[in-house]
Amino acid sequence: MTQTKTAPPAAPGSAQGGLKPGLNPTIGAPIHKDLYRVKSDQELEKQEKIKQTRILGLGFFVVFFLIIGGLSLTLNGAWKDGLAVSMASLPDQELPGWEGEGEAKLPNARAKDMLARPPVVRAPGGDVFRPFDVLDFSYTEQDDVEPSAVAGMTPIHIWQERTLIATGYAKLPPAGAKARQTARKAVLRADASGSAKQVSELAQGVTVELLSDTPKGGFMQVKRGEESGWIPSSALQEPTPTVKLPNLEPRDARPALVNALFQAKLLRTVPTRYLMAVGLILGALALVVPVLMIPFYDFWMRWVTAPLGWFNTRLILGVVWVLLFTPVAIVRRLFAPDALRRQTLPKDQSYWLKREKQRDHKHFARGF
Amino acid sequence: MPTTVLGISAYYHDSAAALVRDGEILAAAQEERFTRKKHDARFPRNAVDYCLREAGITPEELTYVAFYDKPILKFERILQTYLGVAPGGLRQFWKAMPVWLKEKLGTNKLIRAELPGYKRRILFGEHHESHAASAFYPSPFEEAAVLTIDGVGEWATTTYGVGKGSELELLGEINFPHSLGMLYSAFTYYTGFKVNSGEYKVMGLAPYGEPRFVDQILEHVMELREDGSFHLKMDKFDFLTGLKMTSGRFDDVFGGPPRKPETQISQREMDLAASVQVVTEMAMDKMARFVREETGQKNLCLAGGVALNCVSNGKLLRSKIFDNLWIQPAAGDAGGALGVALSVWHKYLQQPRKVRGDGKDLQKGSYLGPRPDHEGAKAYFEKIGAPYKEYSEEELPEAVAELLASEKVVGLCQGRMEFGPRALGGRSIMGDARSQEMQTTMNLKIKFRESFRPFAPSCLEEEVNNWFDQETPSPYMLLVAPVKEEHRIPMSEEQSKLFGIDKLKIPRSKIPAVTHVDYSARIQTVSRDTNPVYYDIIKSFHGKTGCPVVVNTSFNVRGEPIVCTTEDSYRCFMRTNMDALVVERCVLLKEEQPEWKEEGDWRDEFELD
Repeated sequence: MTQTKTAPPAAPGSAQGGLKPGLNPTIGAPIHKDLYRVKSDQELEKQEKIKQTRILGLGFFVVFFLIIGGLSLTLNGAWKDGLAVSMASLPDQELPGWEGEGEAKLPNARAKDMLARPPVVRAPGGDVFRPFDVLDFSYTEQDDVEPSAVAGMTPIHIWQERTLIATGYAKLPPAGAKARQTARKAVLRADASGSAKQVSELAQGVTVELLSDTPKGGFMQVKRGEESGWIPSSALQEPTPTVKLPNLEPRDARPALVNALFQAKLLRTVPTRYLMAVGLILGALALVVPVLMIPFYDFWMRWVTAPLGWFNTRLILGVVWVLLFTPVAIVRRLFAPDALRRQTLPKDQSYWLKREKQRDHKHFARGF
Repeated sequence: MPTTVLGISAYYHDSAAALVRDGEILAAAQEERFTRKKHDARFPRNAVDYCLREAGITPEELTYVAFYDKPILKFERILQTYLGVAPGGLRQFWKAMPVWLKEKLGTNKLIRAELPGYKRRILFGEHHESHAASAFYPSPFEEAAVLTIDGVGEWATTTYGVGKGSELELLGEINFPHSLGMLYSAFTYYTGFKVNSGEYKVMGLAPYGEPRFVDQILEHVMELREDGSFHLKMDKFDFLTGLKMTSGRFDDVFGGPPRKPETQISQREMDLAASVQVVTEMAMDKMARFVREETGQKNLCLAGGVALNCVSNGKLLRSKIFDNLWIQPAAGDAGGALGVALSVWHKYLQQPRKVRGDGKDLQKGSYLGPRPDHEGAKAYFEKIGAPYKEYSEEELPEAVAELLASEKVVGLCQGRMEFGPRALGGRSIMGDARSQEMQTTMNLKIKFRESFRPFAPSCLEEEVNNWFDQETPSPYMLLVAPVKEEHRIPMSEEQSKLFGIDKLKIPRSKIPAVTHVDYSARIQTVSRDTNPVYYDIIKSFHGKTGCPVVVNTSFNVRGEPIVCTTEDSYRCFMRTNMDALVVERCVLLKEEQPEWKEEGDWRDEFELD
């Protein structure tokens, strides 16, 4: 009987088309269901990949979010009590005398806070300056340390209202007089004339004290340390404009954590918050929809992990080769016969190696 | 409780699993058939699952799991090699060492991880001991000499020994780097083919060439002694230190660089192929004579990759050095899985061995793999809307023979899958051997491979000596024999002057599709014992046409592993210009099939071999 069938579009039953579950056709024994594993390679590979993807995502979360983010925020005072004021809500403006250096020299939160409630710098002698008159500055955050002498600098205390917030050193403008800086190298002369006797030479950028406000014949009288004399007016910088503190509106005070989040930068360039976002997104993706992360995983393995691994392996093995294998090989070549038997034997000898003794049957239990 | 031993071969090339229960070979399969990745070397997860399923057991019910070689000995050989060549060899060290340190040294652990539940010891056989066991234990002989030849295992590349009953002793060996397999692979590389898979092509190319390089090989490349022992001149080879097989000095000997893969094959490559083939035959002949003398045995069992060289096997048989010859059909490393499982039974557990006594072997025709389920196949065809015709067991052979007789190319997927690289009628493509165009058609339109490659005949066992100069059965397609004089068509004087591939176009016999240019054919004899369906089809074809010979080639395209399941065969059937497909008792005709949709160019799916 020949039976002809034209198949309907869909039919029930196994589409495995091969290995049948249930009874084993050859030996009639039952088949263990859990052994019926006909997963395709691609499926297994994909599962494995998803697992790896999850690990990678978690890794990014831990490194970028927890470690880098955490450390960076901590360093930016995120966990300190109280509120911080940030420059973020201030208009961009140049702060003369401060020259942007303040941010690097004081903790950000604190420096900006100073702008809001201008601190006062007091030299131990009792002179009071506004911070922007200070020409150079370094500080220690330890309030209780009495500043000691540093060459060319004056120890200072910085007060904010009634709180001593920092101690440090500063190059202070000469007390009770106007300080100016030289714009270029200039010769200090005994009189207001180009032909007057030379007292000394001033380098560019040194601070001098103006002894008089009015020039004489294009020369100004200045004092530098113990020496005084005349230098060309053109050799002096324009006077620092009078510092006006920005007219500050009351602004949002933000928790220290938020403040730190906006200020923290990795290696002073990449804002930490971007890295943290990457860590958080990858971590969440890996946890929730790892399939979406597979392209990233592929990219990462191909262009980051693989080259690093390649390089590492070669480096380590190369060192082992040079320091271990090569010397041993050379020494051995001098004293031991060639394990590869590369030498030609005399014509009457055979290249067969006879096995004199059979191995005991227990050798199967060993991998050698 | 029966004793069940699972043998595993993996991590080099062609991983496989085999299951032996109380000494009987129950199942064996190569991993590539399941994963569809040629020469898959990963742990044979699917093959192991299949074997366990065939036995109806779980891993914890296994008595032993055995691995086909000794990883630590192999590692020692590799380290010794580096010490022998340092400071050269760093590049190879870079390449090989990470894999060893990360994986191979932990073979024990890797296997355990793959076999949850298995708590007992994992056993390790020696590589060549496994080969020898796979050659001797399934053979039909009570006692026999054994010869194993391959590329390399731990140290040995060639061994000989004697098997008696359940005893099997290896008496002598030749060690790495001196290897006949490596020599053949070197020429495979040099003639522009892929090492570890292109060796067949070299063998297939050989008859087109003249062996004019034999003297150069014996003088400069390999020293061959009268006792069959040999010695490679290592300055001609690069495989100890580099990533290639041959060195610049090799090029000097043969006057030029290696052929670039996939470029035009010239007469020179054919002559090189012919030469290395002759040298291999010489070496095997001398070795066989030596082994015969040393052991006094009259039967010989062969295994190891080189034993897949059916041309030299055929010559060895006809040389009558040994009275009988049996070759393990899975002679390559895949067969090591079977060998080690049998070793454990007979050697480690010291169990006796019973031969059948009727001259038949214990390999069961090598039909040791999974069988397509007829009902499952029907359901699959229905699901995808593929029209098919179902035949009864009695009517099927007649119907298929009819298709063949009308020069249709038929894909056959029935019964258990073959273990070993040859398709033997379980997963075969069949064609009419009498057709002149069949070889070219099948090569170019169905297999998508080089047109020079020959096809093999399947012949009814009782008819073999009427058509070929061969008296003994060759059930595993491992022997090459000439077509009988009376079936040949002699070449005219003009034709015999033709060179190389030009000879291909001349009909050489009444069965031109399976007759190589030198009138040889790689024969498979088919007996009703092991594959009744296949036998009946050919028998029926014989009745219709008077010809008991059909073309039999493996059911796959170039670079693809042989098909395993119904889906595999349907896919391959639809992708090629095959005319009909037989799955168990279903017959499908190409013209009736709905259009086959393919994503992308499937030909990219398989790497060229």
